[in-house]
Amino acid sequence: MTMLELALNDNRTQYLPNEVISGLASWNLGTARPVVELRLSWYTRGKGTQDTRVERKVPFDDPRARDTREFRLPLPDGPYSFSGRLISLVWQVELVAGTDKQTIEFTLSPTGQEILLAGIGPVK
Amino acid sequence: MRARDNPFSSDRVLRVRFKPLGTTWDAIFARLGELDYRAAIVGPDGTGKTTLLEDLARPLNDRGFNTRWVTLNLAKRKPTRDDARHAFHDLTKRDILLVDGADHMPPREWRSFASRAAKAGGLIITSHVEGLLPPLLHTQTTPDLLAEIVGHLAFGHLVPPPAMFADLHHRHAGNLRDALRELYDRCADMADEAHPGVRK
Amino acid sequence: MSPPPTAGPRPLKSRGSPLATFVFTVIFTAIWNGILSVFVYHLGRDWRRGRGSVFPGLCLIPFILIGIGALVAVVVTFLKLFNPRAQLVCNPSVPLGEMADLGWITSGRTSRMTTFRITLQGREEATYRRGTDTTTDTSIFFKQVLLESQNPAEIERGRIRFSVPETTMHSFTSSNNKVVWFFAVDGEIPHWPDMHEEFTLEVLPVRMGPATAQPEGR
Repeated sequence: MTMLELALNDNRTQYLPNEVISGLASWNLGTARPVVELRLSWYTRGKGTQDTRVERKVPFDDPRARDTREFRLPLPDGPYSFSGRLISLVWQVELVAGTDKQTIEFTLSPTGQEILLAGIGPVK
Repeated sequence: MRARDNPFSSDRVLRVRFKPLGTTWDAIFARLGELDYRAAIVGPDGTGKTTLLEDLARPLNDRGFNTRWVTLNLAKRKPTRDDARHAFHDLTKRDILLVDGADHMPPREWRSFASRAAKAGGLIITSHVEGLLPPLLHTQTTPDLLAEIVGHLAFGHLVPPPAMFADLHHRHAGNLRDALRELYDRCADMADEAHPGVRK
Repeated sequence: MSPPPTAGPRPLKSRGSPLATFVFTVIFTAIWNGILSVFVYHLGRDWRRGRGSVFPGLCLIPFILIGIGALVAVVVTFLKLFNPRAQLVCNPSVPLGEMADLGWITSGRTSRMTTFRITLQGREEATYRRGTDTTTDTSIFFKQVLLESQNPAEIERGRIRFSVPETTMHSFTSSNNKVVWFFAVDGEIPHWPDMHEEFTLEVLPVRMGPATAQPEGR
């Protein structure tokens, strides 16, 4: 049975731009896979078609079938995590082994919290 | 309400798959076989043509076919060179072309495309109008279908009263996509009215 | 992620062109009313011959109303060609929370304007593409009046300082979703179509130190 686990240090999920996100990635895949990697990405959700962007991919060297690795990923200065009436942008760290995936979401902004945008005009 | 919490966000709506009305999947595939896998899904906007075409792909793959996809619209009425290369390169009887929006092609372009597709094992298209290929299915929607979809999406949230579905369905002329987009706005409005002090 | 703020103010580009709007409106009106005229002609001919019925006429009413609306739009967009124009000068990229200067000059018959307003606005733009359909919705999330004046000298030219609050979202663009910042310039002109122009502003993330750490997956 395939198992993938991600844990962020101190269970921290709020980050400032240009900080480093770090934690532990663990997996038990049954048999070794050629590629096990971490992806730093964001996606949008809301009324529009979803967009996604992988900001960074970091493959683990010589991944064993069962392993635990530390990771440290520098974060960019943006885009910030935000939610408005029509669009939300969500950051995530993904542990990917073939078609199997485990994800942890976090927020990135100058305050560490999601920026909220209130709709003040009519939707057109 | 944050966009990502709206039950009618586009990614949630896209997870709703095609539900045959007045027919079954077995009947649809039987008809597809009778038509030698050359058929059109016909219907108005927002009635599930693209969704059905997408949902045919996996069963076709399970039946040993490779599916190749081409999407056309008002802004892109002809297949690009990349589309043509993707569609026709090394085409065999094990390949089925899926063309979304085939009726956007000018008539001459369509005849040329259909002619080149003769080498394929099949050609299944979506179209707003009849006449391009024999009809596999005419897509249609009902207020009950809309209610079922909304009940599924809005689980845990306030569900509109039943009378609203008939009105919503009628005002959008059966276009469920537009009806669900209106519900997105209504949900956002209701949340804003309930919590007017959201930080700007 | 974003380019650093460019040095020095420069003229901002206006979104949209009154001439382009007028030309598009004329083309649309010509095509619409051209096609409609064929149906109206045949309907009128049938009526004159005593063979007309009410139903076709009723069906044409919505299309005729659109045609009339289009003709009105041609007149309005034509009149707008003679409206005063604004030129805004600003650093085109401004980080959140930082002060910047905005200058303006208006040209044309500015004396006709009774009220001149410059607002800073933030807007979400979400495009939904599904099947062969594409639709874009917008929602304003920020609106601040930077200037509202009836003073002719101030309308003609001026300069103010402004900042985009540090606690809001910077400009963002992806394939289907955008956060757009812009200046809206409005001039009220009695008995004439009002002036309205928009100028895009690139709002950058809060200016912070550069990243030096390298990614590590051990």
